[in-house]
Amino acid sequence: MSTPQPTQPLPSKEAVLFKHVLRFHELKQYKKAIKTADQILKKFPEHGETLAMKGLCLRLMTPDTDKEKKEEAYELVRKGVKCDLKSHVCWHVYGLLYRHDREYKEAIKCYLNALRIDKENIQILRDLALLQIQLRDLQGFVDTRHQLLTAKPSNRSHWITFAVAHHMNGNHDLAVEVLNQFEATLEEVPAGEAYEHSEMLLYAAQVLAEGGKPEEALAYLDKRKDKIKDKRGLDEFTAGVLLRVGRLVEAAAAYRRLLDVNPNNYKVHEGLRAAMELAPAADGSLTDAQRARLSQLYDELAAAFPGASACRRIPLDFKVGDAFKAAADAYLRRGLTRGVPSLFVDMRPLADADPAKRDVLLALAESYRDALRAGPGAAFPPLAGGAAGGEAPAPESPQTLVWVLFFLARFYDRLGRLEEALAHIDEALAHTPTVIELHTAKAKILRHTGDLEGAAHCAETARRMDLQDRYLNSLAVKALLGAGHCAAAERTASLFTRDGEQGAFTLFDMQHMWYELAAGRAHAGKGPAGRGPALKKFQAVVSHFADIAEDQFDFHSYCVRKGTLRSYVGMLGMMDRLYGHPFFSKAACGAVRVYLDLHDRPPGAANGADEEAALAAMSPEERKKYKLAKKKEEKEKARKAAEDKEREEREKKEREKAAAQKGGKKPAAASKREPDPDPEGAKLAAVADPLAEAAKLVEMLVKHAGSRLSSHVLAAEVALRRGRQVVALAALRNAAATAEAKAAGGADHPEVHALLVRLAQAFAASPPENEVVKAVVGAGLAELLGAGVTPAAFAGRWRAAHGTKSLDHRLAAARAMVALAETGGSAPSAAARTAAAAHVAAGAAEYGPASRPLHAQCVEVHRLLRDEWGVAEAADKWRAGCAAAYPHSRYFGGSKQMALDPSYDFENMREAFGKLSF
Amino acid sequence: MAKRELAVSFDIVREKNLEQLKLLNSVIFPMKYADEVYRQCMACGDLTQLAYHNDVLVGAITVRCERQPNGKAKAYIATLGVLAPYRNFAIGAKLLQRSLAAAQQDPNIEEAFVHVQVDNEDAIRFYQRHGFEKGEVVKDYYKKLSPPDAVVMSKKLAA
Repeated sequence: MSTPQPTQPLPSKEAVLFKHVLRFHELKQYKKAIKTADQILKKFPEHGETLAMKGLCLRLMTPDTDKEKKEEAYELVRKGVKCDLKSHVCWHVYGLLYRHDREYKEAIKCYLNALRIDKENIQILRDLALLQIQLRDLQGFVDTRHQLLTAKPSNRSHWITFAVAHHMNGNHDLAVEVLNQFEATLEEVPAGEAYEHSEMLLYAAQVLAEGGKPEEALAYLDKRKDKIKDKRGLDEFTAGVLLRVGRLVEAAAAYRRLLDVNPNNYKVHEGLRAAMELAPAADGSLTDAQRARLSQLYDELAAAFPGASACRRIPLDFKVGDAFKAAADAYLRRGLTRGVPSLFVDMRPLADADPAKRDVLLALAESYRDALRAGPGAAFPPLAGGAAGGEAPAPESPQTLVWVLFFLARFYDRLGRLEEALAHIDEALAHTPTVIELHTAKAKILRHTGDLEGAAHCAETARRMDLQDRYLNSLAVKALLGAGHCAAAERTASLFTRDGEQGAFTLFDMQHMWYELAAGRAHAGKGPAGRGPALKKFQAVVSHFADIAEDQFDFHSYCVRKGTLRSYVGMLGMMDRLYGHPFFSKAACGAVRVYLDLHDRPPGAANGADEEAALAAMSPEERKKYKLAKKKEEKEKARKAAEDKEREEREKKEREKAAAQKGGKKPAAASKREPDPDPEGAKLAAVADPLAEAAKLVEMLVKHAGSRLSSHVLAAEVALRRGRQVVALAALRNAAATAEAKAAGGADHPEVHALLVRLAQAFAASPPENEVVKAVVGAGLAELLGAGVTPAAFAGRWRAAHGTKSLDHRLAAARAMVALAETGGSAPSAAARTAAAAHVAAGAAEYGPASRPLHAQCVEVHRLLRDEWGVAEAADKWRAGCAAAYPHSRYFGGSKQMALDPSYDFENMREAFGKLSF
Repeated sequence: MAKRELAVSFDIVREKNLEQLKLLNSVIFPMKYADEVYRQCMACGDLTQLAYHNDVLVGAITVRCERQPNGKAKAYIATLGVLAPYRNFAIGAKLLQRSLAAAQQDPNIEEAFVHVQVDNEDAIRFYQRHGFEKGEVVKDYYKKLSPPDAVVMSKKLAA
């Protein structure tokens, strides 16, 4: 291999200096590297490779936020490339620079240029391959890995990665062929590499099986049994493949051996049942003969593994009738006597799936309750299906009643019988108030009754009962956010972060996504003032996903070196599906909604007008209250600001003191950190073109979460606002198809319908200028609306057919009415808004505690009627209806609100209760 | 009636479970104890004992040390209570025994004592069974209870 001669040779002294520059760069001593480079540049200011290296080192020591320095670094490298176009070093460095800033496509271009000059540079080829697999340029990856293998066939990892490349590129046969050839070159596996070799063999078998050759995979492994170290992995894989190829007797034997290892592995149970042809049919049904054999099997397993809970629990899935009742009776008693808090969660799938089982479980629990309420020395009733005149059950511990009441409360809560749920949880609390789960369950039930503040109080009580329990802390944080106490929630969550008050950083660094989502939602619910903080949280989650995708970079080389190929390939698959994760969808949808709101109600302009409109809609009494509250709020704000400042100073002093005490050592890493330049997301909310930001997120949603209706609905919302009618039409088609697939009515789905009307209205008012586009949208609408049907007629027909089916339907019909009145960009008339609001509010009369929409949605609708549409009469009617349906609701002023402990003053909380050092 | 048994485990009070103890006492006793009392008890290590059944707090004895002029100390029982459904399982007796045993480990503690409402005959008998003797009656000890008088009961601890 020949390296091309440098085009700008340096004299020997400078050549040595340049080597030092490279050395310092490797050692990450960037300052020294730059100093040395400057020495060369003094004599040779046009030396390209030195310029490039200086630029790279400058970039590496500059924080990401320093845009000026960053630009300077790029200038240096570009100048270096210009001075020495024929140097592979310059191009390589340019590529490294782009790679550092995650601009992989640009980086690949630079590497390819470098390779044009130096065809067989291993280092550059390796860097290029990493980028190609990161970007899933699979054909390019195969080619590069082929070059590397040809250049250095003695390297084990070159063989393996080449095989992986073929596998990822869908060429299973070639992948196995490469591995086989590599195996043939080995004379003996050194003891130190035995495990890596074993992993390679298992990987090869997996590729064979995936490539449609399961029998070959079995034979392959059988021949190499002795070399496999991961015996369990081998057994699990073999069992799975035996089942797949229909060698059922052998598969069943394999699964039984696995059960001996872990009788609680549900996957193994499932495999065993499938191998014995006892799996349910596609519709979930079993034949009587299957049931009988299942009973027999599980009687046998329960005897063989008396300690395994899986062997007791699984029969509840397949048993029916009296057999189910007897099994459930025994199972429940055991859990209740032991006080298993998760017993209801364990039973919930049964109750949800089968009304008959639900009734049996409920009746059993109620019979326990009635028997155990008898007082001291009470016992369970006789066993269901037990022999008559059998031994009477022994007295239970007094606590069993508490767990029965707890179980029933959760059950009633699930069934929507919330009053009974509350009565049972209160009875249990009066009996033994020190059971922490009772408080968390009460919080949950209160949340369902619409009392979010009460829920926060109960969750906080539970948290205080065990300050070291992270789960309780998380529940409290969630409940606080639900009630809108964002600051208190953050302080509470920060109790479990490393650096206390700087917790916000740690919460971000730990990619604390459920918290960020809940906080984002809580902030977004606060109206215009909450938009900045909400965006901050949602965008944080979006950036976590970019970071996670980025994190795989290190594994491309690491996993091959460690030989963990099966996990590596699994990780690649996970990364391919990464953005389909529900957390991403939730964050992106949340952010898009805020951006839409920013577009519809831009900050600044609306501020005064909004308030005036709100004031006008209020009664004089309310107005007085509002003004008082506002004054108080301002005072409070000033007080808080002063306090925060004081606290900050105090803490700073404390930190300095602590640092001084540590003998003048460096202050802790956390305190060195630059403060967040935009802690409240004000800059995010001040974005010039919110729709463009929304469009970026929507694109990701449609691409990665296409099975979610909200992805397409939001795509249509954004496209309508941007005047892109073709895009909106396509989005609505997708939305209708998604709704169809979920059996949610296709184009008749309320959200889809309301958007269709808006699109038709927009098309009628201002059709696209381009004739072709106009024809496409026109034809598409004619297909969806019916030829020659006006938007108003279309909406009218839908309203008559579906408009009162549910709250969602009522809302859609009303939104369509408002949209139709919005002609030529003018605001809809008061009459249209009043009629629309009345159509929605009329639904409230039908609600009662037994049948009602979600509380959060009711609140949203109330705000829509009162604030956005400004129809006070309908809003009041709505509120009265909801207050009757939600008697515990604080928002609607229900009649049964729980008394609260005034000492929990969440809004003015200075410090979260129970600061502990762990 | 023969005492029934209930499996009970014991623990001491710490910062992290202090709220549980407060909650327990708030439902057993008709008055609220100041946070200061709990602080003092927590400072006295294992004199204060918590009883758990099935990992759930069901009873507790809270005890603090009181320094005497002669440099010695007395153990003062501030509260001893068990949730109503868990009474008659001898949990209170076990709590008292464990606390007294802990006090006996400390040679400086020469006596344990407690205030009992004068008409609380069950409690007086209970302490007598455990070797306490009736002492002086303090008039108007309880401000909000009737009768307001308390009898001091004490037990010498072997040095």
